[in-house]
Order: sequence, then C-alpha cells, then structure tokens
Amino acid sequence: MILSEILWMLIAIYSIFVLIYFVLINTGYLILLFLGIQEVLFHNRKPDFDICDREGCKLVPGITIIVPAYNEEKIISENVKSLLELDYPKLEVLVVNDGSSDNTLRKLKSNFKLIEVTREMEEKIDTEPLKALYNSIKEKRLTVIDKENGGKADALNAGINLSRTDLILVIDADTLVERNALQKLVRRYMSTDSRVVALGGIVRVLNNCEVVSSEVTKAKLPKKFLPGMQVMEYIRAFLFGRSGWSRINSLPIISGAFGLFEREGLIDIQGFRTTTVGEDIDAVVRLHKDMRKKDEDYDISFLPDPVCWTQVPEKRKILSRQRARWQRGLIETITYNKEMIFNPKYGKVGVFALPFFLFFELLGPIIEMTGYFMFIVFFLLGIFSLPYFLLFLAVAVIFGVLLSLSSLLLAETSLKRYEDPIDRLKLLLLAVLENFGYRQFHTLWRLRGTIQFLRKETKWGEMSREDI
Amino acid sequence: MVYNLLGEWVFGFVYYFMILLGILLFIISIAYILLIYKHIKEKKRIEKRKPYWENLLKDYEDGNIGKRQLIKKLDYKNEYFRDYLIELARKDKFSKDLLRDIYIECGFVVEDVDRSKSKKWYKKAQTFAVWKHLRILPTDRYVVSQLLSQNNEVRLAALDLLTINRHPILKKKLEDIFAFYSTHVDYYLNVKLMAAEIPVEGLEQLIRSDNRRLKKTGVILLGREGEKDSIDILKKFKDEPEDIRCEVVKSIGRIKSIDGLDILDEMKKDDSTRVREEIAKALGKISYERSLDSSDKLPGILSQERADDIIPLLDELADDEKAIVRWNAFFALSNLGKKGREKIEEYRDEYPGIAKEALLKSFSGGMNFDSL
Repeated sequence: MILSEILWMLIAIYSIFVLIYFVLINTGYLILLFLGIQEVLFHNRKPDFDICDREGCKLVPGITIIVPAYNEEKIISENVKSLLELDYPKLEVLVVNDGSSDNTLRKLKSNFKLIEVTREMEEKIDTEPLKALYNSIKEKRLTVIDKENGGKADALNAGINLSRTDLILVIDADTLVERNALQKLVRRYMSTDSRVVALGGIVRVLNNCEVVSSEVTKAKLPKKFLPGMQVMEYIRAFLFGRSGWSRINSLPIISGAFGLFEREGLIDIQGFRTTTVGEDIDAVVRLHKDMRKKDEDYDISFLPDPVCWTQVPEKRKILSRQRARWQRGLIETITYNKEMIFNPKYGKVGVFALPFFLFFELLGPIIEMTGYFMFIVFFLLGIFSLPYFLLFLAVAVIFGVLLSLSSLLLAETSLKRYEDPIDRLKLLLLAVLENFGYRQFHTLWRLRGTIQFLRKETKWGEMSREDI
Repeated sequence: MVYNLLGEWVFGFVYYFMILLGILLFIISIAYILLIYKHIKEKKRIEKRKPYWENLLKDYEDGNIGKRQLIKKLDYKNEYFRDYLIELARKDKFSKDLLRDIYIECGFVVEDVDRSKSKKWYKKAQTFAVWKHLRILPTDRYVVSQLLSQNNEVRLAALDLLTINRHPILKKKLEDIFAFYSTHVDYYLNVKLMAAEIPVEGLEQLIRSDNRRLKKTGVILLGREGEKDSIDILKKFKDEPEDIRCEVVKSIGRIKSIDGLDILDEMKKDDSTRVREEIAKALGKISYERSLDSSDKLPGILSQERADDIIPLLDELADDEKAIVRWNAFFALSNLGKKGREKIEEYRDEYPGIAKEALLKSFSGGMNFDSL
C-alpha cells in the first residue's frame, strides 16, 4: 500500500473517532443535564423546615468542622469567627495548623486566647506528628491542632482523629459557609432512609461579593474576567454535573472546600489519602467502594442549596496551577481505583461515573488538543475543509453554550443569589464568551496537569489569599 | 477529503442538528431573560407592598384597628400576601397567633386543604410545612393518615406537623411510624418525637416492646429536661445491652436532675467504656447551669450545695483507666465551682495537662455538655 493511502486511512479513522467521541461526550452531558434538572427540581419542591424544635434539638448529631490551614494568616481568624456563628446546635471547630511558616498560629492564639492542652486520643489514622494542641478560653467550641506539615489530607486526618462527633464538615480555610447550610445538610442526613456517608453542597464564587461580619450580604459578579468565567463554570459544574450524578447515587466527587462526611465512614477508609492532590475525589470514590463491598444501602449526594462561598484565583498563573492540580488529582484517583472501572460490582459508579470521568474528563483535554492540532495538520496537507471545520466548531460552541445556559436557567429558578439584573445578564454573556479562549486555555491547563502526572510531579502549588 | 469521507449525509445531519440546537439555545436564552424580568417584577411588587402590610399588622397588634378593619384593608387577594404571611411566621416577626388568625380569616386554609389533597407529593408536603410554621392543623385526621403515605417527603412533613402540634395520636402510632423506616432515619424520628413531648405513660408501648429499636427509642424519649418521673422507669433498663445502657445514661443527663445520681452511681463501674464516658457527660450536664442564680457564681457553675452529691461520682471517673472517661469527668468537675476545682487540684500531679485545662474551663464558666 502506498504511504499516502495509509496516511489518508489514518486520517479517516481519526476523523471518525473524533466524531464518535464528540457525539458520545455530548450525549453524556445531555443525559447528565437531564438528570441534573430532575434532581434540582426535586430538591426545590421539598419543603424547607427546621431540623429540630424544642427539646429535640438536643438529639441532633454533632458536627466537627475541620479547617486545614497552611499559611492562612490573612483570613483564618475571620473565617473561624464566621464558622462559630453558624446556625447549628451542636458544633465544634477544629483548626489544623499544618506546619504554617507564617503567623497563622500566632493570629489564632491572640484572637481566641488559646491555651496549650493535652489530650490522650486514639490515633485511628496515621498522621505526621502533632506539635501541640490548644483550646480557646474565649470560645469553648474551638480547638487548634498544631502539627508538622503533611499536606491537606494529612491535616484532615489529624482532625478526624481528634473529633468526637458523628459528622465531620471539611472545608477550606478561605470558605465562608452560609449560616443555615449545616441545617440543610443535616436535614438530608437525618431524613434519608439509607446510610448517608457523604454530602456536598454548592460552592460559589466570593470575589467581589459584599461581606459583613463574615457573611455574604450581597452576591455580586466579579468585575475581573477570570473570576467571572469561574462563576459560570462553578454554576455549570455543580448544578448539572454533580446534581446529575447525585440523581443516580453515583456522585464521584464532593468538593474538599465544602463536604459533610460521616466520621465512621471516613475512618473505615483510613481517612483521606495523603499521596494524592485530589484527596476529596479519591475519598468519595473509596467511600463508594467501601460501601459497595459491605453491600450496604448508602447515599452520597450533592444538595444544590446549602451554599458556601470561596475565593477563586484572579490571576491566570494561579488558576492554571489550580486546574492542573485538579486534573492531576483526577488522574491519580482513577489510577488508584482503576479496578472499579467497568466493574459491575461497584454499581453505577463503576459502570457509568468512573468510565465517564476516565474517557471524557481525563482523556478529554488530550483529544480536544489533538483535534486542534489535527486541524493545523489538515491545513498544511491541503485537506482542510472549511465547511466541516466551521460546522464542527459551531456545534461544539452551541452545545457548550446550551449546557451553560441550561445551568443558568436552573440557577435562576432555584438559587437567585445575584440580585442585580445586570449581573444576571452578564452571566448570559459569559456563558457564550467562555467558549472562545477560556475553554481552550482550560483544556491546555488540564493537559498540563496530565503531563505533570506523567512526570510524577507531586507538589501542590502556591495559592494566594486575599483578606475576606 | 475528510468532508467526502464523512459523507454528505453526516454533514447534512449535523447541519440540521446545529440549527435545532441553535433554536433551543434561543428559546432558553429568551426563557432566562423572561425569568429574570419576572423575578425582578415580583420582587419590586412585594417590596412595595411589604411596608404597608407590616404597618397594618403592627396597628392591629397595638390595638389601633380591629380585625374586621384589618382584613378589609389587607389586599389579601394579592397573590404575594399569602407567601408574605408564611415568611413572617418563619421569621417569628409577629406572634404566631396573630398570623394564624389572619391566615385563616383570609381563607387561605380552605385553599390549603384542597392543595393538601392533591395527588402531587410536593403540594402535600409543602402545605404541611406551611401549617407547621403557622401552628395550624385544620384536617388532623387527614394529616395523621399521611404518616403512612407512600411518599417519604409527605410522611416526614406530616410527622413534623403533628409533632410540633403535640398531637395525641402520635403515641398510638409510634410502632407504625418506625415500621415505615430503616434505622437510618432514627435520628430524624427521635428528634421530631422528642419535640412532640409525648407524656411518659404514652411511651409505655415503646419501652415494653420486644423490638430493641423501639425500646431504645422509648428510653431516648424518656430523657426530657425536668421529667423526674422518668428516672424510675429508666432504672429498669440498666442491665440491657450496651447501646440501650448508653441511652439510659444520656437520658438521665438530659433530665438534669439530682434524682438521677443514684442510678448513675450504680452504673459507674460498667464494663463498657462508652457507658462510663456517657456517665461522666451526664454528670457534666447535671452540673451545668445556664443562668446565674447567685451573684458569686459564674454562669454554668452549679451551686455548691449540689456539688457535694456529684463530686464523689466524678472522683472515681476522673481516675478511670480510659482517657476519654477521665477527660469528660474533669470537665464535669469544671462545672462544680470551688469544690470542683479542689478535686481537680488533687489530680494535678497525676494528670497535669487535663487538670490545667479543666481549671481554666472552670474559671471561664465551665463546660456546656449540651453543645457537644
């Protein structure tokens, strides 16, 4: 066979592969969207009532909020204050200072009048050594662990060891949790007729919002372009992505910035894995695995209205690091739990969710980038078809916009957080704009994460924090 | 080449598919804009009317206008007024009695009754939730029947409504209610039934049951603050399996009566660490007082005359072989003022860290075990 014929054949095979991939990925997203709409509507229809009344409030499950803190001097005190003000009757806050090199611990000591205490505790999960333990004289529900640096997962594990409540809320130090969010999560925990091992709420973008006493009083769209784009991204990812998976009890990810876990469940899986940067997704996947092995009726869900707010990166460099890290975390999780993929023993998570994440979220950036590259090759070979290219591009863009807009519509029916109509209309514009440039950069960052994984890079990457 | 390879039919299909997507996109965009417009308009209307409604309600509350005048002035046919009343009830802005009267007077309950009988689960559940906020129960027989509804949300909402109204039927339906759920919902059922304040005699059905789950629930529900009569009943369960013994101790702690000390004393040598830990916590609850009842006492610190009864029990637990028991015993001692601190001092050499912490806690008002 002549070389050129082989080349044509390869190109033809590649084109057909891309087309099939394109159809499959978009069908997958459409199904998720459909499931997500069902889930959000179902949730919206549920009546909102208090989790407890009168003496009943003494029987609600206790919650320990674990706040891993590494160099968080700018925001830690304000954040802890806001957590202590959350509307929940049984609450403890546990800050884990993970070997910070700044004044995180000093700020906590002075603002909350910490005193060093001892505690004999059963170490159920191995962690880096603890240096000291502090209790607050000013605020009885606050405990601070000072430990050697071991990363976020290790800090969370130290917190799990010390906690004594049935439930653990895992958050980031820069996360502002809405006052009633815990009640909403616990209501689901208490009223579900199966064992609830993990619940996630929605994470929204804090940048540019008006905050009074650590509470978001007015949600505003960020003025800067990159955070604005992330608002759109978060709405889409949470409202149709996670709601969709949640609908079929196959949610493979609960954000480490805001997730409620059953303590016993976490101990059974030996806490968060310290050898991955995606400790949140890995923990949720292992919880699924563990519960399936035990053959227990369980629930891991996403709820669309317990809200927390988080600062998102405003600089491209930091955002690119974060996204590369998320991608690395995803690949590590899939690698660690590869035996679950296409394994019917693990139910819908093994048969649908993980293969979806493998083929579309993990391999997606590689295939998308090769697509862009191949168009250049086609162009150079003189076989570039402009109508085909334009059509392909148009369908991809329209589809992307359709998914974003549907999420916006869902958000407008359920979570009317942005009051200013201009902000809401701007979101419409962002839903279109993100397909031109931002999406391609995002693909590139995720590809970088894949390369980092292949090069076995393990570092977390620096994140910057602004005052709340 | 590629174009030819894929064939015109693919191109044609994709072309029409794109047009379809484009139309869909256009419809969603318009829907989104219209929805924003609708929400803004609604908000403006409500914001405009709210001060007027609020002033009228205040005038009525202050006795400046009568009920008939109030109803006349309230444009209750306004589609948002009903929602506004519910919002007020949820926020406890006006007295529930006042809001309930107006709600009934405006005829909203009649509409609600129809709504509650809808075949749609969410209409029933939402109506029950509204009645809960307003503390009304217009069709109690119907709501009771919904305790056994096939829909989980309706059952939960019906139970919530009946418990807030302390409905007497609940004590007769306890077994049926539990039969509908797995043990995973016990937290919810216990929290709600506790709020129903079922009288002690009403719990007999549960505590006499052979079903361990029901028995345990009975023991939990007996533990209401001030219910001293329950203590004698709880004593009978001190030899039950560990989980029930734990609940016995917790209930005694919640009752917060010195009368519970005898049984705690009998149980303090229990083989189970969990039970001993709960005894220390229960003593912590009994010893913690929220209000100041004498000027020389810090909030949280028990009066000294009662401390003498509790300290001997805690003394033994403070030297327990298990750290978690000691820890709770020390903090319970921190609620006992001067005498508690003296006891803590005795252990200062043996357990310096926890003793220091407990002493500091004692000086800052003790430890509220209810919040743990």
